[in-house]
Amino acid sequence: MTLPLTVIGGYLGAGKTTLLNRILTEDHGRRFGVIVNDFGAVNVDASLIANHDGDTISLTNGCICCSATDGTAEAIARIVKRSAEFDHIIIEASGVAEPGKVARNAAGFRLPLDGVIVLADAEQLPDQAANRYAGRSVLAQLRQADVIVLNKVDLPSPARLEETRALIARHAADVPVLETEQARLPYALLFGVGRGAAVAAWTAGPEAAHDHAAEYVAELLERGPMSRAAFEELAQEQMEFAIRAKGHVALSDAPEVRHLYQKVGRRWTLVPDGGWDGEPSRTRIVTIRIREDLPNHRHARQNMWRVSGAPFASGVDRDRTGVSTQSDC
Amino acid sequence: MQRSHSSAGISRRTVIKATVAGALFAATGFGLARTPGARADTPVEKIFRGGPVVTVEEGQPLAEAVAVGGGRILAVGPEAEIMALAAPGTEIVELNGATLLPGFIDGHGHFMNAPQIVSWVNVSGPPVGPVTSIEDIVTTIRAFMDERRPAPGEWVIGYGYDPTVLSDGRELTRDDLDPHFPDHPIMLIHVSNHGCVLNSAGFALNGIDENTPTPEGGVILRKEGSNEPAGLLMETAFLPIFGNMPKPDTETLLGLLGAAQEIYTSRGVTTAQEGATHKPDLEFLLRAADEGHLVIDVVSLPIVFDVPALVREYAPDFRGGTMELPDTAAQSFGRYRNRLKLAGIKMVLDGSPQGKTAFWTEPLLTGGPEGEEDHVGAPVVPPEMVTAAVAEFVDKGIQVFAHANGDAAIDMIIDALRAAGVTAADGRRDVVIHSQFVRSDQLDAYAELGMTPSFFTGHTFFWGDVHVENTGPERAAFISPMAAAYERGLRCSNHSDFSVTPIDPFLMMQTAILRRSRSGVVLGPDQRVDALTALRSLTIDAAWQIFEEDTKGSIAPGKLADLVIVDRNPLEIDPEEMLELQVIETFKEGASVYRRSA
Repeated sequence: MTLPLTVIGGYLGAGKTTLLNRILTEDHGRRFGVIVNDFGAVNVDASLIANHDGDTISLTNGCICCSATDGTAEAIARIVKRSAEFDHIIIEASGVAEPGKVARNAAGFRLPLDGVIVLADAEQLPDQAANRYAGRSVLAQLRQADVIVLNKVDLPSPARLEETRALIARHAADVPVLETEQARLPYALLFGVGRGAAVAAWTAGPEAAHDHAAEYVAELLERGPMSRAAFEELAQEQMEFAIRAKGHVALSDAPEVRHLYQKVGRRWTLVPDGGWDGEPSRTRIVTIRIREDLPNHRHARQNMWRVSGAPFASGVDRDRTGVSTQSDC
Repeated sequence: MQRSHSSAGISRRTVIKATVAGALFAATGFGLARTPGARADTPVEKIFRGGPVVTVEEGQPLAEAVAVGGGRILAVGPEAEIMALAAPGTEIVELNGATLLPGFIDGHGHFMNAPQIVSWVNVSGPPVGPVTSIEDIVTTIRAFMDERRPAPGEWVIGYGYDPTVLSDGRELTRDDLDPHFPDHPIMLIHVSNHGCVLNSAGFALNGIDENTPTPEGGVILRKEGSNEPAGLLMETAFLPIFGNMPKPDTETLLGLLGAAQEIYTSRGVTTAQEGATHKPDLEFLLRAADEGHLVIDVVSLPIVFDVPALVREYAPDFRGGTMELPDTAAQSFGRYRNRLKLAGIKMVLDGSPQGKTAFWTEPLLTGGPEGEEDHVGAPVVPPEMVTAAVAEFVDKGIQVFAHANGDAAIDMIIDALRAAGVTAADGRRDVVIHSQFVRSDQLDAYAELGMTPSFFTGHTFFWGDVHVENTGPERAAFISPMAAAYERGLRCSNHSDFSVTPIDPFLMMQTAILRRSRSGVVLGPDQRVDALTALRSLTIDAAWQIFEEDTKGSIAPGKLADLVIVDRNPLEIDPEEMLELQVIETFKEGASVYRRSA
């Protein structure tokens, strides 16, 4: 069993630890194996710790947190050995690490990459990018992101915030940017819909109408078998602004092969994923995009959205909420 | 002379509050005094005579004889004077023309690699190991297995595999190993430590076969015309194997400490360094020390990343920020207990120059590890963290040991010490480990701030040609610039970074004297030093760097009797012959801890 891998990167003060503390403590229904640089930064209420054993803290929400001080490879190996206990693995890249390289090193463990999320400090980013020692690393982190979380947007002046946005647009033009405060974001945007690799389960059928409290829309897109070129065109048209998309694809030149399509930010993959196991050979993809009908969600700059993370903040991230069906065949 | 490793002069804050309740490591009892110094009536236990005594003392560089008692050097001088001190029971050690030197001090290395490496087989090429062909590899593994008799199914691990030294002109494959070693999984670790060769039993245990895809950024060498793995795995393909490598348990490691220390004593080294000590390793060393397993001194540098965890463990009531230390923290440093001492805190600021992961101000001429243009490498930690941690260590009176290879990384530590208000007058002796691509103006800053380099002149031999190619002849010529450092009055150590290169003081001396690459290019002829300077960096100046110059590093009355007998005088011989030098016997505080077998 393979666990999807998310790498969380970002420079000092960007909010990685805030985000990880949420993941380790909130009741989100997903079991994450989290590899951090140092437990010291993880500040978890003792009542939420089920067990603390040397290199590993087990949390009451089913997550565990491993320290990577003796090497990330060893920590990954420890979690992979217990992969049945988890849905997803997260590696915190250190403040100057290139998260793309961290993700690639993990590729040797054959963990499918779910995404590289890079947090950035809305107030400090321009200074950090100009820092003599760290500047190159800060910019490399932005370039390697699948999704950038621009955090602490409540702190800078409007002019400073615009400076930060312009810097991101200059160095990571195609990367979607989610703006927030206190690292609050819906889990579906960070880690996709559903648990682990159970793709079929969450593309199973039409769902309830929009939940207007949600800031994102999850839509099911269904098609019959199509050529690869037609699929790529569809992906371009239908999913350009999707933060994430995931599902099975039926290609007309190999209808017996089920393909797995995954998109996060600007990066997508389409890989053979076994057969259809008696299911109809159909393309079924769930896309997740930011709702544009809420005030302030879409900014002047393309690819930048403001989210407040309300569902996240409430402690419940309803994975299946707001899935609607878009089917024209 | 008082035996004292107190932190006198270690910082501006030499007087530290003695409210020990929450002292870091207090539970371990660090800070207890060891054996008191020899008194005037100490009996003379041994007299060394009959060969040159190279004292490495300024005033008296050569002597004829040495008297030793109570673990200390009692007298040094002309043979007649020293022999007059002999009493009934005094043992006369005849040098028979061999040379007596002070025991060597490991300027920087990783002691905890030693117990591991002694359970591995050395498949390196010369001068590190015996291998020049695939046949040699098989013979070497065979001899190792005949001696160790691993149970069927037990891993046999080798180190130093390097296809460039093989006369066969190709990579070793599983087919070379399988016929000879069908019953044991074999892993030969690549000399870069970034890969390995496996035999079929090794592949099976790791679940790697023809269906295993090659991960991005990795190499799985395949047999010609087939998808079957041939043997070699590199980079990301190696990481999971590395992550799953069998780890010896504590009891096994304790049992290996004797052989591990012989790596040092057989080369005359009487003070080893554990130069990046993680918390579990520190716990192991404390146990090893307290159970009396250490025959040589071990200097440990806890690694900065584990400092928060150490504070939580040993000072549970202390409340402070991530990198803050209790006021009493310095009491845990600077003194031996049962041969183990914490000297300071290790910071890692960049990677390695040959791996192109060091941090330079000017780009490499050959691009990055993956051909990236304009590649200068990167820091390992954010500069803000370096500044904050260094300020805290300075404030608490703890010596800093910063790993920095590239000049940008060296700028980071200079900036941080300067920001903390350090000057040479503080006498802190903050060490920049490696200092390989230090610039001339940075050596001036070292002098201004009282910093000291620990060089790695072995690089001129092992990777000199690579450095010329990557950095150009000018920068490569100033690598580990020992002559320039001494000209500025800096005191330097030289190191092997064991197990990156072998513990071999004579190889270190030779490379400091010759600075010659494998292909024969001399890197920076003006940075070559004479034999005595090369020797100082392995003895008295290495002792000074860890505040032990009063007890170690030269042969002088009152100092510890840490001594080594070498068959010929390294100050006299042709440097070309230096690797032929043989250690005959090594003494730690007067007791023989190694003797060459006849």
